[in-house]
This record gives sequence, C-alpha cells and structure tokens, in this order.
Amino acid sequence: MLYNIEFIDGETYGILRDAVERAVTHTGTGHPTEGIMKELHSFLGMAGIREYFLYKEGREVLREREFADGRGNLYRMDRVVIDEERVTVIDYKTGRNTATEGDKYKRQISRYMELLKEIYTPRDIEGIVAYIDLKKTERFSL
Amino acid sequence: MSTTRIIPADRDLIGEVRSILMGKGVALSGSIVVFPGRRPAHFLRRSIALKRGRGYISPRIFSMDDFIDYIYEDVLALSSRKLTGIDAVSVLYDIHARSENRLGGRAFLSPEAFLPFGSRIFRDLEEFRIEGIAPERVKMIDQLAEDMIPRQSLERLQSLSALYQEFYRELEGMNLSTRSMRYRTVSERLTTSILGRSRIMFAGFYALTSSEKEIFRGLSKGEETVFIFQAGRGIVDRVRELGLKADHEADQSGTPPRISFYKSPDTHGQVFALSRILKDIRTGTGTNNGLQDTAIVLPASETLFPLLHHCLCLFDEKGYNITMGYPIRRTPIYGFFNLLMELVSSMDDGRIYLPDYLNFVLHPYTKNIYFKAGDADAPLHRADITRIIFHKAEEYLKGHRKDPFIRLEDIEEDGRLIEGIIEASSGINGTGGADSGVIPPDEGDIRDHIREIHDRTIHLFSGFSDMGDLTERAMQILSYIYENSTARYHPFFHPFSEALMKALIELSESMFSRVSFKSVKGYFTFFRRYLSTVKTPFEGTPLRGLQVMGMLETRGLRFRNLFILDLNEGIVPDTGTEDSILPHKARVILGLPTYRDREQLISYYLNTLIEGAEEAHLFYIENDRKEKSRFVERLLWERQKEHKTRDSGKLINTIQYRIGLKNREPLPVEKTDEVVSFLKNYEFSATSLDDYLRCPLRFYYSEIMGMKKRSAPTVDIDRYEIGNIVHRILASCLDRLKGGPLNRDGLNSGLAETVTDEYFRHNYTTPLKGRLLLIKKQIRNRISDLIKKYYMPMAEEETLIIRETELRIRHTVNSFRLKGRIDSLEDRVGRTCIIDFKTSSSPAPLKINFKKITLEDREHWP
Repeated sequence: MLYNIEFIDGETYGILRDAVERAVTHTGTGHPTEGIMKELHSFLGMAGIREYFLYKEGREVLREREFADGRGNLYRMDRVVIDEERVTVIDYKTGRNTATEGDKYKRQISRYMELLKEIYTPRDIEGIVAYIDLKKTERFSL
Repeated sequence: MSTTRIIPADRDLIGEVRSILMGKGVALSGSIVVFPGRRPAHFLRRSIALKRGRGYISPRIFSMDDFIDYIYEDVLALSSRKLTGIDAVSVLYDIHARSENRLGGRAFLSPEAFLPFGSRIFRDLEEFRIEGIAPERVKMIDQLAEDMIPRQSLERLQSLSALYQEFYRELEGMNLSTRSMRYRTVSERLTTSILGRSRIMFAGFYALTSSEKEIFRGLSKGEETVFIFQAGRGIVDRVRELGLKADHEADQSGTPPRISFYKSPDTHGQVFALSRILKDIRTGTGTNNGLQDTAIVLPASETLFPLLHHCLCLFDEKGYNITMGYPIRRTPIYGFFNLLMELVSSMDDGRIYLPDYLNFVLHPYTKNIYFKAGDADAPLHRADITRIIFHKAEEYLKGHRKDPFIRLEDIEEDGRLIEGIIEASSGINGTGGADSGVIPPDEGDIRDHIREIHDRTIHLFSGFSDMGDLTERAMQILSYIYENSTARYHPFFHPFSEALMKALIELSESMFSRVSFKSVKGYFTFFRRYLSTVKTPFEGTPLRGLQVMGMLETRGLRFRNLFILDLNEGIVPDTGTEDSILPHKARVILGLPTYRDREQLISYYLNTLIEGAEEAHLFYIENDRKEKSRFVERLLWERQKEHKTRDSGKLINTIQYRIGLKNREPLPVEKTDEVVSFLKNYEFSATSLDDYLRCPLRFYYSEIMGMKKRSAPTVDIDRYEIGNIVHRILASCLDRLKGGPLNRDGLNSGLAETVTDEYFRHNYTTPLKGRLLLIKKQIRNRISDLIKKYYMPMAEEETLIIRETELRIRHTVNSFRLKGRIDSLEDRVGRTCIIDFKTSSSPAPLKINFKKITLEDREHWP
C-alpha cells in the first residue's frame, strides 16, 4: 500500500484511500479498508516519517526500485528519498520486533546505505527502519 | 524509428544489451529491458556490475509477462485483480454447471472431474484471447475450413465459443483480469508516448503471439526502442513480418563450438559420464573455477535427482545453482500427503486399513516425528524412539493381527504393543541406565505420543466441511511436520514445502475453497489433481558456479561449457499430444500455434544455445524404448558431412558401465562350539532341511542366527498364509470325522461351509469384503470339492477311517533330531496312509521324479 504513495499533501486521507483500495483490489484479500487506513494514517503522521512523504522542490522518490551492487546482487529498497544534500532509505517492517530481528534489520539497512553511498557520494546517507505496527522508527547514518 | 539488430547466434546477447545500455547518452536507471524469461535479468545485472565495478540503480529488467503487469498496473494504472489458474477454472466451472449446452454433455459435472478439463479449456481460451481471435470466428469455423469438420468437433467448438464469450464477460464484470486480458489491453493502449523518454529494449525473442506483435509494432515507431534478435532459422521472416528493418549481422563471428555426442543406455549412464567429465575439468584447473560459465541443461525434470545424487554431490552446495521447475508430485512431501490420503480414503466405519496405516507411519516424515517426554531438567526430544515405535508396531501388528481393519484407539491402547516398544527402546543410548541422566519413556509417554501423531495427522485430515477446510488442515499438518520432525533436515524439504504451502494458500483463497464434496474421495481426487499442476520453482540467483537449468530457462543466455542431457525424441522436442481440447485442424484454421511451432521454437533456442558455447556435450539415451532426438540426428549429420563419413558411430562416445551382478563370495562361517551345541538341540523340519540343501548359509542365518526376511509392510494374505489357513480349516474338518468310518451323511453335511465360516468369524472381526471375501469363498469351495469329489467317492467304495490329524512326530537319527507334522493319518482298507495336502495350483514342482531316484541308494537323493 505504501508503494502506491509518492507524496502526501493536505488530503492525506484521500490519497490513502486510493492507495489502500488499489492494493486490496490487486491482492483480492477483501480486508476492511477503514482499519488499514487508520493504521497507515497514524503511521504517516509520525514525526520522523511524515517529512519523507511530503513534496519538496528537487526531491525524487524511488519506490521498490532495484539496486545492484558491484557483483550484480540485487536489492529492492522500499522507499528511497533523494534530496539535494541527503539520501534516505526507509525499510518498512510489520509485526513485532525481536532483538535478533533488530540486528538483522540493522545489517540490512547498513548494506542498503553502503550501496547508496557508492551511488550518491558525496550526499549524506541515512537509513530508517520503520516499524508500522509498533509506530516506532530506528535511524541510522553512515 | 526504432533500431533493430539481428546478431549472430554465437554472439553474447547479454553483452550486446549491456553495451547499448552503457553507451553514451543512455540513462541506465531510466532504461527498460525486456527478455522472454526472467533468468537473463540476473546475468545482465552481473554483466553491468562487472563493467562498472560498483553499485548502481538497476534498469528495469523484465520478463515479457512481468513487463505486461508493470505496464498494466503501474503505467496504465489499471486496477483489477489478476486471476490465478485455479480461480479461472472455478469461474469456468460455474458457467459450465449452469450452461444448457455443456461441453462434454453430462460429463465433467463434478468439480473434481472438471478440474483437469477446465484447465485445458482455460488454456485454450487464453490462447484465443491473446491471439485476438473473436468468438464468432471460433463459432463459424466450419465456414473457414476447406474440408468437413466432424459434427462432434463442430459442436464442441460452438460450445467453446459460447463459453469464451461468457467467461471474459463475467471476469470483466467482476473486475478480474487474466494474463491474456492484460496482454490485449497493453497491446491496445501502449504507445511510445506513454513510456516517455525511457529507452526500451526487447532482446532474445523468437515466437510471438498476436498481442506481442502488436506491442512490438506499436513501439517500433519510437526512437528509443531497440529490438535485438539472434540469428537462427526463420528469424529474418519473423522480423520482416513485424515490419522491422533489421541491421543484419548474420555472419558467425567466432569459431564453431566443439560438439561431443554421448550415447547412454539409461539416465544414470548419462549422469555418471557427466560426473567424470566435470571431475576432470575440476582436476585440470585445480578449482571449481573451471566450472564458471558452465551449464547443465535438463530438458527432463526427472533427471534432477539422479544428477544431485551422483554428480552434484561432488560439489559444495554453494558451488552450483538450480533454476528449473520440479513437479511437486515427485517430491517426498507429496508422497507423505498421498499416503495420508490413501489411508483416510480406505478407512471403513472409523477403522483404518493396516497396510495403508503402516505405509503412512513408516514414511520418513512420520516416523521421524520427535518423541517429547522427560521433564524440564531432562527433556527428551528424539526421533529414534518414534522410529522404534512404528517399526515395532509394524512387526507386532503383522504378527498378531489377521483382521486388516483396526481402530486407532486399539493401537493406542494395546498394552502388549506398548510393552514391546518399551523393551525395544530401553537399551538405546540416553533413554535408560543409571548414567544416562535421562528418564526413559514410560507407557503413558508412548501412548500419548502415538495418540498425538494420530490426532494431528490422520484424525485431522478427515471430515472436511469444504475444500478450504481441507487446505487449512493440510497447512496445519505441514507445519506440524516442519516443527516436530527431522523433515526440515531432509534435502530440499524447504523449497518443496514452500511450494506446497504456496499452492495450499492459493487454493484456500480461491473460489473453489467453498466447494464441498459428497465423499472424502471427491476431496482427495480434486486435491491430487490440483497438486499435479504445481511445480517447485527452484529460482536461485545464478551469479556464480555451475548452473543447472531447465531448457526454457536458458533462453537468451550463453555458456562456455554446455552439457545437455536427455536429448531424446519425446523430450526434445516434446512430442506429447497438445494440451488442448481443440483438434489440430481447428488450431491450424484459427492460426494458433501447433506442435510444429513448438518444434521450431525449441530448435531455434537449442541451436542458439549450442552455437554460443565453446564446448557442447550432448547426451542422449538409446535403448529399446528411447531414441535420439531429431535435433541430435541433424547435428550428427552435419558433422558426418564435415568428416565425410557415413558412419555416425565414429562421432559418438558410447557410455558403458559395468555392473557386477555376481555376488561376493560369502565368508565361511565357522562351526563354533556354540553352533554345535545349538545344532545338537535343534529339531530339523522338512523346510529347514530344504533350506540347508538349497543354501547352508541361508540355513545358518535364518535358523541359527534367527534372522528372518522382513516382508513388505502389508497384512494382506499372501500365498503362504493362504496355505496355512487351508491346512487349519482342513484339519478342523477332518478332526470332526475322526474315529469312525467315513460315510456319505457325515461328508455331506455342509462341513466345509460350517468350518470355514467359523474360522473366519473367529479370526476376522470385520465384515469381509473384496479380496478377503473372495479368498474365503475360494477356500470354502476348494475344501468342499475335496470332501465331495475326493473323500466321498472313496468312502463309498471302501472303508476309510481318519485316525489322526495334524499329528506331530519326532525322530532322532544318529544325533540329528527330526520333526514333522502329518496332515492326516488314515486307514484305507487295512493300509495306513499318510496324507500331505498341498495348496499349489500346479502339482508339477511337488511331484517326485522317481526316475531320478534309486530307492536303494538314498545317499544320492536330491
């Protein structure tokens, strides 16, 4: 569902409705959309998340884009926000975060950041692991 | 205008695409590349990475199907759910069931009967749609045909035409789409302006559907569109048909590949020979690096496991990568569910059929479920105890039960069985003894364990409310096996169970999930048929090492060393009948691809693959049932012309391997004091003497060591058991006639019938059915015949008295103790006769050849 959102503006609910309905139609899951929208609305309103969904002059957003490292290994990043000075990769996580998974996510986001560094030097690179259900974020920088 | 290039067959397609992508003025990340399949994307990314030496934003690289989905969903922003195959069949089934003019008449009315038929119809309808064939064209096909189309075929086509129209109309109404609908939509709406300034490249295509042709034609107007084809038979005509003007670079640029042919008597021969060659390459280079840029191509998926066991086992698992589909019905996890289904479907009034039960509990996944007992300080999680439980159960149930039907509770509560299990498991490591530190399993633990296995497999997999309920329970069983047995450590359990889980989820979310069946057999027939369509998609990332691939997965790729196995007729090309309900003639009239097109396609890709290699090793099987592929014949003929020889044998390596059929000479067995002492007390029966004369070693192992041959897990009555039953019933009949002279009244009193009925009533609690009932009737009739046709005429003519039945005799000759049993001891007119009954249908092997025996010289009797 978040893939369907490039930017949110004043009419967040309308954009969310489109994104959720689109996703529900594609997957055929038939989940009630209201509950999902509420969850996402609250997630997108979080400090540390909202700013990466707002339109900004010169900002480019890549959603689920494929990146390759120097050996040809493939990485699909959930959301990469490219600003003039800084590139931010956001990795969405659902469910509960355990200590082991936290380490795993950290390794994963670090790998993404290193890869982005190779591509976007000299811009600053930062990474965010966003726990949608927990409404929590972890930020990392290189 | 677009750019079109036809590059030589031996040129590296991936390298060509990379050169264009990395050329001047091209934005790598903004480009789109489309190949026929998914595999080349990995190779292209690697190729770019090696050239750049650092990370990059990948161009969008798609297979044609993925490209269509991308345009449909992301570019055209159309939102309709893509229908799965099983849902498509479900929609078709609904239409079929309510239709008056049904395809196949009243046949295929049940969901399980319709499923395979519906899948074929769906494929045909999808072909109509993707080829842009109007329903009217199908309906009026007789007007297009030059010859008469048989009435039956015509009626079928008219029904199909109605179904065609109705099916897609219904899907549109439900906001659903299929692959072909998306292709049609994209072919109608995609223009270069929609794609903006993105460079788009189509590479490695050969056969195209009408929809694809329209897409190519539409995009050919754009400056940023590039088509790259590889030279091969028919490609120029195909490019011309698309209206493209090609820069033709048809000359081969390199040296032709060195081709070696290998003829093998069977699959294993191919694999052994391949294994030798790979070993040599590895030894020659000293590392696995010699196997980089090497592919083993398997046109027949069944060769995968022989290859894994006899060839790939030479390498570290990370040293090779498998990319192909493997049918789920060939996997152990399918075998597990299949045995469970057989067991549940043969249940009778809540009782299970023992042979099916034993087959199921002795499956490696069931008998390796962890036995969990002990306490927190000394937990006991062991699979070996479960193996002991079920092997002991096999031994016990086969030895103690005549009735093949039993309640699961009777197994769980059988005290003697549980005792036997405790005894058998008490000696194993860690479950007993003062120093083991682990509490051995007790009666309650074992009983609970057996009960839990029954509950979580057999009980759980019966009494379904609908298909969704079945899939839900199958998922629970799969999770139970995954979490509670050693299955997860078995080779390829993960990819196989993941593929099965995915298929189960798909079925549970499909429209068929709400369908109910009258009987459990209906559920299982449907389930089996559904699973027969499922494949495990081995989709490793082929970036390093040796590649193992299916035939179609190699499209667009090039390897320095190539090994292609199973190049046989029927496999390459697959000459099986078309999976279509349309007659061949109708397909031709409608312009649909036929087996000839399939053959051209496979010929093209095979040729391109071989031409791109430096060395190609082609293997085929030749025996009384298999012959080499027509493509091998053609390649051989070309080589024969080069070598100016009519003898193709000179160009073929014949694979032979020796099999030692001769058994190793057994080691002599010493006659120790213990053996002598045993033999002194041993009583020789006729059977054991026969054993000794036939093979002294066999006598030693079976009689002295007590090792008996284990029979297959069945409690079915075999010939030997039938003989025993006949002897027991006969003895019981004759026992009732013992003492006085036989007379007609005594013999004519329905004796055989009474005694046979008594015997079976006593030994089999289940009402007799099937084979068992027939055996009983046969036995009763034969014994009745013996009494009426043998004893009765004799008793009418002479005095016949039965003295003893089943008389046990013992005799010592020198120091040898002999024992025997006389079936019947009879007085016949003053003579004492020993009767030995035989149950064989032919007396020949039982006859004594008196010509070979000199009565006086007993020393030399055989």
